[in-house]
Amino acid sequence: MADAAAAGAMERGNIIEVRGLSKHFPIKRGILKHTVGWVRAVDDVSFDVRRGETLGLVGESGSGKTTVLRLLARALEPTDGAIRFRLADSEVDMAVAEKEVLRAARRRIRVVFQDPESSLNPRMTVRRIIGEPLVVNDKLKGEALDARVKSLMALVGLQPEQLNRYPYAFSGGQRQRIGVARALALDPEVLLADEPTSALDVSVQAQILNLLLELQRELGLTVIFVTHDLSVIRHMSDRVAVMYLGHFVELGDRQQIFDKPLHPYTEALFSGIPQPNPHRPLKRIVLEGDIPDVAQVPTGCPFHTRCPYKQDRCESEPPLLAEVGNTGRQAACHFAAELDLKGEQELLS
Amino acid sequence: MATASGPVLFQEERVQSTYDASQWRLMRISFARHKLAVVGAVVVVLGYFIALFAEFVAPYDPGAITFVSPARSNQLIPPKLPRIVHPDGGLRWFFVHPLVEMRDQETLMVTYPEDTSVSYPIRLFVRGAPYKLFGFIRSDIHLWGVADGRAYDDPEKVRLHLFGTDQKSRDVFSRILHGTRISLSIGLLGVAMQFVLAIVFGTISGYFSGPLDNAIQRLIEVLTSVPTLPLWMVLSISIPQSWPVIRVFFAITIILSLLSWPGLARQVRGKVLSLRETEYVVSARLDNAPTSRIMFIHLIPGLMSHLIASLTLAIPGTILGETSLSFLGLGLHEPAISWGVLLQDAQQLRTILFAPWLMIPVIPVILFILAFNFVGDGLRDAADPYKS
Amino acid sequence: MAPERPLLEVNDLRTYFFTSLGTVRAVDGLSFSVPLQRIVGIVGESGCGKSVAARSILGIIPPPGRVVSGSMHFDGDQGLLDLAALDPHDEVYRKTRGKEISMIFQEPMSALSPVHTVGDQLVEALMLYDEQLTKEDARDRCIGLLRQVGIPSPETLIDAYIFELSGGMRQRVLVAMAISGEPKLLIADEPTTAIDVTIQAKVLDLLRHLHEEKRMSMLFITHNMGVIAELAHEVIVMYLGTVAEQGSVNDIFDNPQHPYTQALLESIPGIGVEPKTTLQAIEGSVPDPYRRPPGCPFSNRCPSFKAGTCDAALPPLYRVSESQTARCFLLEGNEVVAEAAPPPEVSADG
Ligand SMILES: Nc1ncnc2c1ncn2[C@@H]1O[C@H](COP(=O)(O)OP(=O)(O)O)[C@@H](O)[C@H]1O
Ligand SMILES: Nc1ncnc2c1ncn2[C@@H]1O[C@H](COP(=O)(O)OP(=O)(O)O)[C@@H](O)[C@H]1O
Ligand code: SF4
Ligand SMILES: [Mg+2]
Ligand SMILES: [Mg+2]
Repeated sequence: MADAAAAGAMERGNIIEVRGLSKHFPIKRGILKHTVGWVRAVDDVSFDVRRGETLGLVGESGSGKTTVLRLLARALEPTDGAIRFRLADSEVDMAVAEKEVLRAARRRIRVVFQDPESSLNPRMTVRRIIGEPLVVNDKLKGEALDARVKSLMALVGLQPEQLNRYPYAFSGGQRQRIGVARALALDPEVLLADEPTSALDVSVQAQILNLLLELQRELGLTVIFVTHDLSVIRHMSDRVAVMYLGHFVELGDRQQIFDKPLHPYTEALFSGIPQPNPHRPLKRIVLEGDIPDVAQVPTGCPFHTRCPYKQDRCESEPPLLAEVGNTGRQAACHFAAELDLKGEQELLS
Repeated sequence: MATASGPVLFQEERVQSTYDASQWRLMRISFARHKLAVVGAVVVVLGYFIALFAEFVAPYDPGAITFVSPARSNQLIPPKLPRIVHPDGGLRWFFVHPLVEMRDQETLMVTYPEDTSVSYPIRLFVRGAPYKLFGFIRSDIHLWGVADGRAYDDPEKVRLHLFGTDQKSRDVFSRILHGTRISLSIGLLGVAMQFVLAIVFGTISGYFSGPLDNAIQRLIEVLTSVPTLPLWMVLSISIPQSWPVIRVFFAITIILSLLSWPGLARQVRGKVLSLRETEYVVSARLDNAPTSRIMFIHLIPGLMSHLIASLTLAIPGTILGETSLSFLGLGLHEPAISWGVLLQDAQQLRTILFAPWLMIPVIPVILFILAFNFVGDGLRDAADPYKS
Repeated sequence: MAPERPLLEVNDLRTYFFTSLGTVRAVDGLSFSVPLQRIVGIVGESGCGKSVAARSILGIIPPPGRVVSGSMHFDGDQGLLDLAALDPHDEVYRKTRGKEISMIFQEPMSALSPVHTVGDQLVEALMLYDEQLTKEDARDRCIGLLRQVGIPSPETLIDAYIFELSGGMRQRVLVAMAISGEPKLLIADEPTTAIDVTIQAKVLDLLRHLHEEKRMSMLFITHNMGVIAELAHEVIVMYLGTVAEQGSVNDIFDNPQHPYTQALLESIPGIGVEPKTTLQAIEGSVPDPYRRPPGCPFSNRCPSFKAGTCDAALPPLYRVSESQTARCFLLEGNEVVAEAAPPPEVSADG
């Protein structure tokens, strides 16, 4: 069934095409605030997202996941690149869209933020929080607004009677539901979810994951799901992209990646997940050193300082994200085709 | 809504009222927990009450010289408390003995021994000097006074000078109460001006980074690097002596605020900068909310509670500013009455030696500065009711 | 055969916070023991009282909190001590804390001084534990310790400040500090929660390695079932300040008896779970500390809730097997290990 859905997504083509996307933040020093260097938070990234699928974006903190997401929503100005959205009624390049085009596109491309604590204005009632996009965009008010807010609350599993409460009166999970309701208010096509469950308790995380899966099925949403948690990525995604220091190092079908990764970093990530099973701990691939500072990305392959398979060539020559053989999968490693890396199952002892 | 079977979800049990409480209610609750702040608030409220109703609360006219005769100068009478123990040993309601004015013929020093053979009770709501409350309500009722049956302008009238009299025979206590009016309102008015300036410049500077921000930042830097007191002095000297009190008052207020807003504006800017990047502001931007909406709905209310706390903490500075200027003779002058003006009398060592009670106006200055600081501290802690 | 006396035996511990909004029963009737040379894991969701329990053992509960009742028997160098009966400022307690029982905190930045070098802080700790030590010897020992926790070129790193180190390195310095007194019991409070997977893997390996090498007992606190499965020998599942279930790691993962443990394990999207299917979520959320449900603390979320029973009284602790106990009425009929004691009547100034 999942395969049929994936096939369906393939037929319907790409909804997002990102080309050469970069975001470099200047590092400023001194009283005169002159630029002394650049944080290459996202560096020359290209990928496609298919209509109706979930693309999981995974990587450790600082790898640039949030920045990618914010660029897609144009909450940040890209340094370079194109972000083409093929929406139902229009085509937009979010990297350069202005005024009315941007306004229209933002109705269809919506963000769910990581921290339900800070993404809801503590001074507003739920009615105003969820209603804000409706008031601003559709000029809804009075009865019509209330009715719409209530139906959204019901949709995400909140009690509509509670619409006059302030965010602090809700638990973390409920606040995240409020965030989802707000994102859904304008009938979006694309949902950009930035670690929507990372701030939640384990027992509540499942509720939100279920909600997102259900909404996606019902509303036919395309979702980009960002997280550092590989178990969540495995559960939520159709395809997976792995980020390291501002680069995509691997991109491909979820099952194939988890069965047999093509990039050494992906393998190391898998081997690091603590399994809730005392009988089958994973074989650890312990990486050397820590994640380098994003302001000083190593030359050549950004991963070479920690890679267990690195060769001389890796230090100078940067590998590009490219299709490996005829697999339909992409990896940015010089030896992606030769290395025999272990998937999750093989890593289990 | 809780059903008997199945898990009882907690939300139903939660007390509706606390969960629908707004930010201001939560702030009030958390402010009330701050004991000193509550005491400070009581003092501040009392102060402004006195400022409003000074004519009524004060027993005597602050400006007019206490009526004198060749036999009575009434100058520099030392402070006196009402009595309750009668010379016959019994306890009575508050009363006073009349003072006899005696002049030592050699030293020319005047003393005021009590004539204990007579006593007059203190009464509430007595008739005294006539006044017009708020400029139009005519009355001659004062909160309290000595009931001796004489008219208010009779030189033999028996009076109680709690804080003594000054060289011009005026009642210091009444003058301090009347001084509350200018001293406290200059704080409020000055802060109101700072508030507007700080919000306008701070929000603009914080929200629109770029050249505008840079320009405002430089202006703030210049203004904050100027030492305040000398500049105040220079500016105040340029106020013409001939101006009426009211105009001098506004001029002083403007001078004090002009140099004080940059600190506040900087705070506002910092807060706006951090608020601008919070997820809820970003999310409003992605909702297509126009800039004005983001400013007025998300940013300014977000910093209001902090700003009010900072402003409360800024009031003492303004009060102190006025007091210092007037004390140095650069601010208000008689016939205006403010604590600073009153303290001008205490400038000479001689007066301090012979009439130390002329320094009493220092006490309300300290009292209110402390009170405003306590209230400000309490407000600052209460400003974030969501951080439990 | 009389069982060996455990290193730490906590019995019916209650630590309350007396706030202006009411009393928070952060730890409420917690009992467990840490046997010699074992790793005991405490797992539970945020706010269930894990950190407060750890701090209670160390006697570092900040006001308005206080250990109000219970016992904590520690079998240390100074004989069998009931830590709960000691004044936290007592000399005996001070000698125990840090040296015999030490702790690794979740947030390394808050546990280390930003104005002293790594070496300064470690040397100071070492010299405090061993008064005969000279400064030079302490420095050598310090370099040895840093090497032991896997810090590359400790000779130079010893003179670095904390903010110059990466998250993983900081955590290691904290580990080095915690083991510097050769403690009998190491308490680790979510030591890997703030760091990334690849670094977490290394810190976990380090802790396991240290345990094996030094045979030191460990109390490991986390909210991550995976970390528990990997590291712990024995597991305590906490919910709202008390033990929901307790057993060996195999008991807990293979044969969970408490509905909370079961639900917690089922809600994880683990390897066996079919992607994109509905997960077994637990309804509702952890109640706020001022409004506990009556009866069983889990009763308002429990899928096996029985009205009239579960919300009437706190269930006693039932025996499941030799090594496993659980606090749930579903086990009625099993041997009762400990009756549920009612909370004591206490006030802020007791
Ligand atoms: N506004 C900003 N200014 C400067 N640097 C930033 C900014 N936002 C993010 N960064 C940097 O970009 C890098 C990537 O950040 P982010 O996208 O948040 O990573 P992730 O979400 O994967 O943890 C980090 O090193 C971060 O410090
Ligand atoms: N200093 C404190 N004052 C009041 N309540 C506290 C304090 N510290 C912890 N608590 C409360 O104690 C409970 C347990 O907290 P904690 O032990 O930190 O949980 P966790 O299991 O996440 O470590 C929580 O409800 C928390 O609100
Ligand atoms: S290119 Fe080299 S260093 Fe980079 S991942 Fe591949 S083998 Fe490792
Ligand atoms: Mg992020
Ligand atoms: Mg904790």
